[in-house]
Amino acid sequence: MDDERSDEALLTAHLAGEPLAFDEIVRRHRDRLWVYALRIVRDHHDASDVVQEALLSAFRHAPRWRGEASVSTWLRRIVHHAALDRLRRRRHRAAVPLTESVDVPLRRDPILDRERALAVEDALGRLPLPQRAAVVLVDMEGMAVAEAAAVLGVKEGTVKSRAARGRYRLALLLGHLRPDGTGRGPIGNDPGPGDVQAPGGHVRSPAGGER
Amino acid sequence: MNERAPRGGGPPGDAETDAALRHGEGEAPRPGEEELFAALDRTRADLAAAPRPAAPEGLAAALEAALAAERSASGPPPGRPVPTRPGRPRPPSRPPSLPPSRPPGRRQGTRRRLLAGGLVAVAVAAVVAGVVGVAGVGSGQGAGPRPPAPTAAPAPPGPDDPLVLSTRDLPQALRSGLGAREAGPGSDPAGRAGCLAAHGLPAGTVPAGTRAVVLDGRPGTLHVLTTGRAAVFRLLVVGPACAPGSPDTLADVEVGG
Repeated sequence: MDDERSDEALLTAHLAGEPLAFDEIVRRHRDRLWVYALRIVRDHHDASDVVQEALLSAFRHAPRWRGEASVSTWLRRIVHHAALDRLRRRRHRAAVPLTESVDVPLRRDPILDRERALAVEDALGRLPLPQRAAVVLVDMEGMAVAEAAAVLGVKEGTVKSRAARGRYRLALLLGHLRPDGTGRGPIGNDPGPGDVQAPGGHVRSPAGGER
Repeated sequence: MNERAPRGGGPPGDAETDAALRHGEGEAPRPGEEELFAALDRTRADLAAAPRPAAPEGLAAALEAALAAERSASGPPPGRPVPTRPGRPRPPSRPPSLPPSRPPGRRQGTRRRLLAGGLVAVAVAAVVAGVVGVAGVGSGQGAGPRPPAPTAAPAPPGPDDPLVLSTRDLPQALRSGLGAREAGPGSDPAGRAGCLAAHGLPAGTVPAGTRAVVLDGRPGTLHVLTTGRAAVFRLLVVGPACAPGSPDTLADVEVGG
């Protein structure tokens, strides 16, 4: 039977000593947390490790939760930091995209959803980490800017800036935007296969720097 | 944070950045920005429509087991403030690292623990911590929690050998069965699904581990099943005749809790 209590009620119950209240929180959030971790660390095994480390940390440090953020936001923040730690430990792998100088549009086939999904995930992986995190939270998880700011520990304006720059860069990578800054047609009119234009040199792109 | 401006990009605050920011605020495009805004709209649509990758099958069981091990190591739930010792560190409770079961070709040299490994580790912790209780149709029926009989412990088999054990020792098979995915009669998804259905399990049930066993001298297949309860696993051993309508049950016990 599903436990209908809110996350906050469950965490309070956990703190009061109810044995399995935290497990219910884990059941509710684990899959979404794993997807978020995956999109940050870009590795299935690391994502699983990150989620496990983060949830154990949350379990141990639950008394520190003061209710200033929702349990969902609190967990996401812990996963985010665990993911950053994982990336720091993974120094031999690039934490920043290799394609910094040129946003090369990815080939994509609008007919096949799977390829579309892969193109999106591939393009996401080429974003600088702060932009990627902002885009994932706001545009993929539908999180409000204020909540995303709480997860990332930055100001709301920073989230907006990072998300906007990330979207611009993704528009180039996904082929929605030509390197000269012009679009490819009206919304909903997908480019045909092979319609991706190789960059013709200088790519205009909003700067990736943090605000 | 390693965020650097693309070398080919314009400086912060240039026209594209400003337009992208205004797009993000939901403003209408200014003259000449229609195509850019349309491209950004399409990008957001792609992002929103991207399917969520599926979490690994073993994630839920691994987390359950990890939490169970954490509980065993740290005692009862924390309880609200312990004012006199707010920063008191808890004893280390991470499961030990385990031999990786990573497929060949994955990069080496990292200390990442795999889910299957973690499952075994925490299961061991749970069993050793004496939290094993037995309930069900096996020979331990009604026996309540009891320590395993050391003299009857099965010899550790090789990874590809059938696990030889008696019904009495079945709870100890948890550590060997969790995370196991070996070839054999239990590895065929269709056959396994039919067999599990004969035991009333819903279609699509994927065991947390499957392993060939010899139970009380009879060949069979051990399926480790999650129960929806933390650190409680169902150990189902079926004979070779297990199929839809023919459960061929050799043992069926729950361990942990």
